[in-house]
Amino acid sequence: MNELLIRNAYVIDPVNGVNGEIRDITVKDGKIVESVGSRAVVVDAKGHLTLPGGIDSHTHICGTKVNFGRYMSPEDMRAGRGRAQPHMHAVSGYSVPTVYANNYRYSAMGYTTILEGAMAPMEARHTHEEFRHMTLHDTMANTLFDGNWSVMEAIAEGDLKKAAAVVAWTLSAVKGFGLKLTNPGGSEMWGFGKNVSCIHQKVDHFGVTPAEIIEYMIRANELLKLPHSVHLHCNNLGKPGNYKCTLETMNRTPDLNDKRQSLYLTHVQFHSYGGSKWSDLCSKSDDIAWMVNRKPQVAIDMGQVMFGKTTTMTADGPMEFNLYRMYHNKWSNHDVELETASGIIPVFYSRKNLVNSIMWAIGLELALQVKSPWQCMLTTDSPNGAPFVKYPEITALLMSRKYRDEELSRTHPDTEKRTLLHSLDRELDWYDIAVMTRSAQAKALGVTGLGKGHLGVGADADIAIYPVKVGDIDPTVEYEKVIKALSQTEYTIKKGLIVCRNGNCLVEGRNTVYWVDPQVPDEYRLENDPEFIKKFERYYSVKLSNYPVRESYMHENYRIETHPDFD
Amino acid sequence: MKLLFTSGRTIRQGEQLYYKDNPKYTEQTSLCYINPLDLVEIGVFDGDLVRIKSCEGETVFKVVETRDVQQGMVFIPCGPHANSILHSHTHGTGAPDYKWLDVDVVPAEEGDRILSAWEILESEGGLRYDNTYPGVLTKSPDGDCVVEDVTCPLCGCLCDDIKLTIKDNDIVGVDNGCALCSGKFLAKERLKAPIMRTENGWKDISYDEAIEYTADILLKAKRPLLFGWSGTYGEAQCVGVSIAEAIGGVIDNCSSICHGPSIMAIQEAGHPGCTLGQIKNRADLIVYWGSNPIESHPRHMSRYSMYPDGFFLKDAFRDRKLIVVDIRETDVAKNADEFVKIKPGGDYAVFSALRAIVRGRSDVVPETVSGVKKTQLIRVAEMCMNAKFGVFFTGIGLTESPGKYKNVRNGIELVDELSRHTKFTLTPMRGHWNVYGTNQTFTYMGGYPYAMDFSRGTAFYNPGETSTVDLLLRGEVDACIIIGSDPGAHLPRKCNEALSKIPCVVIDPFPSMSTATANVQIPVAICGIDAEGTAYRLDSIPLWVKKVLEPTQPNDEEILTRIYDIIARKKGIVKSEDKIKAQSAEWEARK
Ligand code: SF4
Ligand SMILES: [Zn+2]
Repeated sequence: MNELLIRNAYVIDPVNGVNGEIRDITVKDGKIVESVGSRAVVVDAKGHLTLPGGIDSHTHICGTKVNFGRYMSPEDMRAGRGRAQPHMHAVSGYSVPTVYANNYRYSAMGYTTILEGAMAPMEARHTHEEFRHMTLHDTMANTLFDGNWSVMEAIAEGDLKKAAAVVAWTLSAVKGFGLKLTNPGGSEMWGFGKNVSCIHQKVDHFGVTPAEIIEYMIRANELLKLPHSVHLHCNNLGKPGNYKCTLETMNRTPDLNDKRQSLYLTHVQFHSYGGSKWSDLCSKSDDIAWMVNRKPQVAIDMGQVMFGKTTTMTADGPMEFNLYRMYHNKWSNHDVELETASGIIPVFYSRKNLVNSIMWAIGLELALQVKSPWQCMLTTDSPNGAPFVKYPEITALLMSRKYRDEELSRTHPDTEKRTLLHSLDRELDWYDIAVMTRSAQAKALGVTGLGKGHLGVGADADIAIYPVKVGDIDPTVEYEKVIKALSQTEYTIKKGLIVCRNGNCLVEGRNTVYWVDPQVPDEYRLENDPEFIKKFERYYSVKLSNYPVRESYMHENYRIETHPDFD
Repeated sequence: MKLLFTSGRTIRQGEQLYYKDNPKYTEQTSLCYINPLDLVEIGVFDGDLVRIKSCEGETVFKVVETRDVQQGMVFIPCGPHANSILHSHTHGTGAPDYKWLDVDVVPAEEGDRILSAWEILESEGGLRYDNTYPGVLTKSPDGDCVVEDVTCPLCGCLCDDIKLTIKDNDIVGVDNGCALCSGKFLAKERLKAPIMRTENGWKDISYDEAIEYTADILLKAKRPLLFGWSGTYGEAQCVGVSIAEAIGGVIDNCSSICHGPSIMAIQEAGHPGCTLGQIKNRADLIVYWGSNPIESHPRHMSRYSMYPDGFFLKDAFRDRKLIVVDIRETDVAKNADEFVKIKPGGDYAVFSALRAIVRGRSDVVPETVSGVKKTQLIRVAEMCMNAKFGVFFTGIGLTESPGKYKNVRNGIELVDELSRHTKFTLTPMRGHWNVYGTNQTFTYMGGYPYAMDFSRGTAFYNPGETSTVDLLLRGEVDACIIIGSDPGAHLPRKCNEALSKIPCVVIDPFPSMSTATANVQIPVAICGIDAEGTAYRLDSIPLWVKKVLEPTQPNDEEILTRIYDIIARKKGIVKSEDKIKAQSAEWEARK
């Protein structure tokens, strides 16, 4: 029976329409309640900015690919080393931090819920093993279906329900949360060193196109009533001229859900390139934003690039190889049988480099041109565009034209000719930022109803109090203060426990893994399908019975049961 | 006669892994394989004894005549005999020269005899222990049952299709597994209770005493080392990393003496790899390079590479081609479409030649490279480029011979080159069932895959400096915990001598060669038999290793957690659950 009274909080809570009211927040047993008794512990927020705990809807923190990034990069481990503190473990890693480092650094920034952006189903156990140590965050994992043989076979047969059944079985088996497509079709082609070009090329052998995979998966996702929509990393990532592919993908998206988008497009910065080759690369963020603005059925995240050293890692194997051929540093690749692929390379984004400067500008342009902050979330696709610790700087750039102009003037001299950032006056306010860093994520992931991303009664008491008085600073000029305030909370509260104070994580918290368990009719249960069993035993290299991650394997977890209508 | 010594796994030695106190183990590890022409020159025959001398010492071996070994070489199964004459210099890589040592082989003298494995360890300062428990140490289930799809906790293949027949709390049948697998599942002769070495030999002690002793030596030590880990599961390894952090010690795993150099190469050049199922479904060209799967990973070829059905191969068996590159004509080499016999130490040059040919510069390649004809190199390069999907399985033949990590790096760069023409991947043949798991857990917990030193308060990594063999050779280590590995059988002589002189605790179900160098051994339940946990296959697929019998002994994680708790208390570290309780208590107190 823990009671907490947060006094004098300057609350922005977009889900509940609260924009900067001084309020008290009362917490009991990890939830926000109407009132507490007189003996509750009191936290004085001193009128400081108080938001729901941050939610990252697309980042890479746990699992095989992430860990491989650490394993192959002792130089990166060294760049982020930190000693053990009284209540904290020693940490390593800058762009691919160790689990404890991710845990503490996100918490210090006021985040409390994190979605791992890409989990290969066959390697799910690894992700869950690391999740156990993400003690200060609720976690969930996007599950990869981009090269899933059973999905492609069902689509080739035109059988939507079968495709949905594959998704349902897999998500339950691997304790996944969202349906992720990374370069759909491309990962299967990469199995023989090839790729697909945009969305209409047929995948060898399976005879389906990326467009069909995307469309079927969107429909299957809604049929299964999953909380989140399909989460798409478009085809052609990072290629000059790819904006057309992105536009067409958006334009084809049906509007099937009135509570949230039907398609979440991730790290769209990497998909908004005009031109035909690197030498004439230019920004097409205006066209992309125009499309987003007229399509309520899509939501995007930025995938902002920030200058400096980082590591790129995605399930898009062919893209990573192409990138490697440009950087020629080191390259790892890891294809996963019957499911997906992945690649990792370290990169350095230089402000002296024109291509990198254009990339930097495009991310910001997207956020400034998409009218509704609910449709554009703040991310770096960490660590692909930059490590997540750069979020406060990105926020400051979005809030200050002055800061942007200063930074722009330090980029490659031709940047202005190829981008439109210099022409954008918009300066986001604290409310927009609150939306773009938590509330929009909660809505997009479909977890508002589970008490995420807001401070209404009944919500999880995940709260971030930042050391800044909104009225006292002008973010359009005092961007240094914005960065400082957002880099470290005064208090991060997770399920009613104060887990981080002034950057010191006080306790390890109580973390929950969210996963979905769609209940499909018996005749659609894959475990009853002899054909599926036969193929599995023949072509996978593990036994079917050893594939699922058992619930007993997980620590605290929350099963989201859905009841699709299959008739 | 001067010969070049090279050691490696044999299946006969592998079968005896859990019976090391048995004379059969000695029989296998004291053999030496020599070419008949060299035998003529030495003046001995098959079955005779010889003395093999090195810079480090000499010992007696029994000769086996074989043409599989090139002239000028002597092959010895890995184990205490080979290691008793091996020096401990790692050339800054952490891995000893298991595959590269100049020795002198002469006929044995009157009265020479083969020492037993125990005698060798005793000559290194150890003390034998041969009082194993013949009975059953688990308590249930009673009656008959069959457990299917069990994961085999022996080699990196981590086969998960083993069928065990259990009769009255005892495993009586092993199906689907290989000889190594049955060897482990059927092994008896475990250690019943914790033991301590005293002036009068070994005595039994309680678990409490053993745990207190372990925590105590770790707390007192200035440079404690926690070594092994590849024979235990991920959950236990994580506790190990926390212990190392708490005491400012070094935690290292078996990679440092086997595939550590592969990891160093990957850290330089990356790793183009894939899962094993990807290979079985697609690969039409399999290359084993410096690796001998028949002896070290007996089911590797049948499950993952040469013989399984493949989705994209019509006639899998015929459509696949096999290339073997080795210094010995191993059994797998005999079945290859192309056997590339390299002079010892020649791998780097052969990779370079292949890279040149693939780049279209065969003009710069000389007529022979490391004993391999240019015509064969061109043939091999063409096979690689014409394959739809090719794979290199690289073994410790590359990591433990001259060049070490540079060999592997050159292999990776060849794959990089080939990837511009077709699909190619590379997979190191990780040895122990969960050695890859040690790299995974160490990395996500601390940031580095092995040789992780917490003495500065942060994790620090520098193989060759913070790796086990180097630390022991320099005499830095003043207390050691050994878990899930048997350095007594696998480390060079000087290392075992160093271990014999310092407080050393072995956590292991079986008396092993390392028991000899220990002060205390703590027996534990065996993961895969009476304990369970997570393991990573050699391609990084995480699998759950089941428990099939109910234990009477604690498991690794429990023992380590109790050790950690004592250390944490003494060091004032608050454990997570306690921290939550403390905050709740603080809240209550304020009320
Ligand atoms: S190949 Fe390895 S994992 Fe498979 S059964 Fe044999 S020893 Fe066990
Ligand atoms: Zn991503």
